[in-house]
Amino acid sequence: MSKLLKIALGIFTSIGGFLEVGAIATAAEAGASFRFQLIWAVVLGTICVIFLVEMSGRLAALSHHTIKDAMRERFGPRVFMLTLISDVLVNVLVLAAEIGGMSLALQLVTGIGFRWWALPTGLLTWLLLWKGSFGLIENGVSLLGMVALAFLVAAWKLHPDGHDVVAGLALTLPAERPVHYWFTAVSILGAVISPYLFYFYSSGAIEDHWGVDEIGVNRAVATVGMSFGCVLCIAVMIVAALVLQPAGIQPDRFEQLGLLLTGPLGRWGFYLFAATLLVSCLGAALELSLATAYSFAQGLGWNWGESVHPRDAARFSLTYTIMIAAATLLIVLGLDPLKLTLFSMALTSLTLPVVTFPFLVLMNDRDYCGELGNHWIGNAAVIVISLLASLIALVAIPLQLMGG
Amino acid sequence: MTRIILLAAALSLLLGCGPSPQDKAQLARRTVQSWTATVEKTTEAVQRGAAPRVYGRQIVAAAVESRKNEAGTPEWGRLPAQERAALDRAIQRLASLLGMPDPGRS
Repeated sequence: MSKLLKIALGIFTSIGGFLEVGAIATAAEAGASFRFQLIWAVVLGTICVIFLVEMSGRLAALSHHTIKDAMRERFGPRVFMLTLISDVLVNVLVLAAEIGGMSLALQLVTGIGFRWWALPTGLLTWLLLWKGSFGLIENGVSLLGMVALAFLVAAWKLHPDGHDVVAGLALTLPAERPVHYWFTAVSILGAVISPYLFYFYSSGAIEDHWGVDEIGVNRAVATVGMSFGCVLCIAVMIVAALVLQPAGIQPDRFEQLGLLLTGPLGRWGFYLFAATLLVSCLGAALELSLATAYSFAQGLGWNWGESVHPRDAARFSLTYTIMIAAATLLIVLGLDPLKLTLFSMALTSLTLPVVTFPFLVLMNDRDYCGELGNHWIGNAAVIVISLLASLIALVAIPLQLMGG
Repeated sequence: MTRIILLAAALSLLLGCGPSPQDKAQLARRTVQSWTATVEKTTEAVQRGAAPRVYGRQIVAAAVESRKNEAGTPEWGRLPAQERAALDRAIQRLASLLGMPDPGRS
């Protein structure tokens, strides 16, 4: 495959993979409540995730290690288990939110309650993992995720004020509801800097047999793909700010988000919103399930690989099966998908340093990256943004919980 | 001992930061206004064919449920009567457009 084609495909999959239930819900919530005031959070999160995704690809290309197996090797079982526990707790909640998102998309179109859809969507996720190949998951579902471009078209049709949008890049304090503002900000950061994204990416690089030649492709994919994803996320915020906020709609249920595209795109907008939610959540659910199974298998030395037959990687396959079953159960039991999404994204922010700091140590270790280790700018950006997200989450989560 | 004191201080600080009665009243008011706007916008979308009727029914059900939850709180009684009535009217209008039974009677 030519380098250009690899870059194009990588960028498409990055765009498709960037938007998922967390990004859609948090951006819409931010736009409806604070107009463009939280654009800075999306941009800050994107800067961090560009660095992290690029690092994870570089680590795989240079050392032929995934993040998790390098962590296990470099820090030993204790640190590895700490990161694994943190991953599993957060990933089950986020996976439940993704299954909830898919179920809600189907509810919007059919009128059948989302709890009834949890089992079929969970089963579909599992079946695609069981029967599908890595290529199908990486490219097929992510390419379908391009339906999310509908938000870009809608934002363009709504003619947002350019000055207001640019002003959103600067951190400003809200006139009211400061706790909700900061909670939404950390939820956005958690949605954008999803650790599963770079675990999945580094494992994918190993599955695709990346070498030193792919470092340039990796850099281009991480930077351009994630930046386009960021633009899509901002488009969701702009649409919510111009459709929901003027009407005084502050969504506390997912159903209210069904109105987002009906204004600018009419009836097609309604179905495009449902399709975007369904496809992006399916893509994220597949990546999340795989990322968790990868973490277990790579750290504990099991056979792994999405392209390997489940019979030959039984414990790996069993791990994602259990993950999907647990997450599906949470939705069947009736957890509110929107609240679950916002909470799990904030929790992701809280646990970021546990994930990113050991990873940074690896990226500065010459045994793994040789001469192509991290530059200080990448280290500083990831440390500052992860710490900031975690500290805000530490204060905002309890306050938001007490304030309902 | 120091840990317990620090934990107690942190907890009391957090509890002291809980929502005031005014905050709760404001939140309840915002919720009612938000649902009224949601139902009105959905009615308009269904009327011009931008949203399917099946979506309208979901919004009626969600708005009725949210109204029921709000009505169970002390803040509900303190909301301006016209705002409560506006929500009820909006729900009734959408329900009648969709040929659903009056949600106020069910």
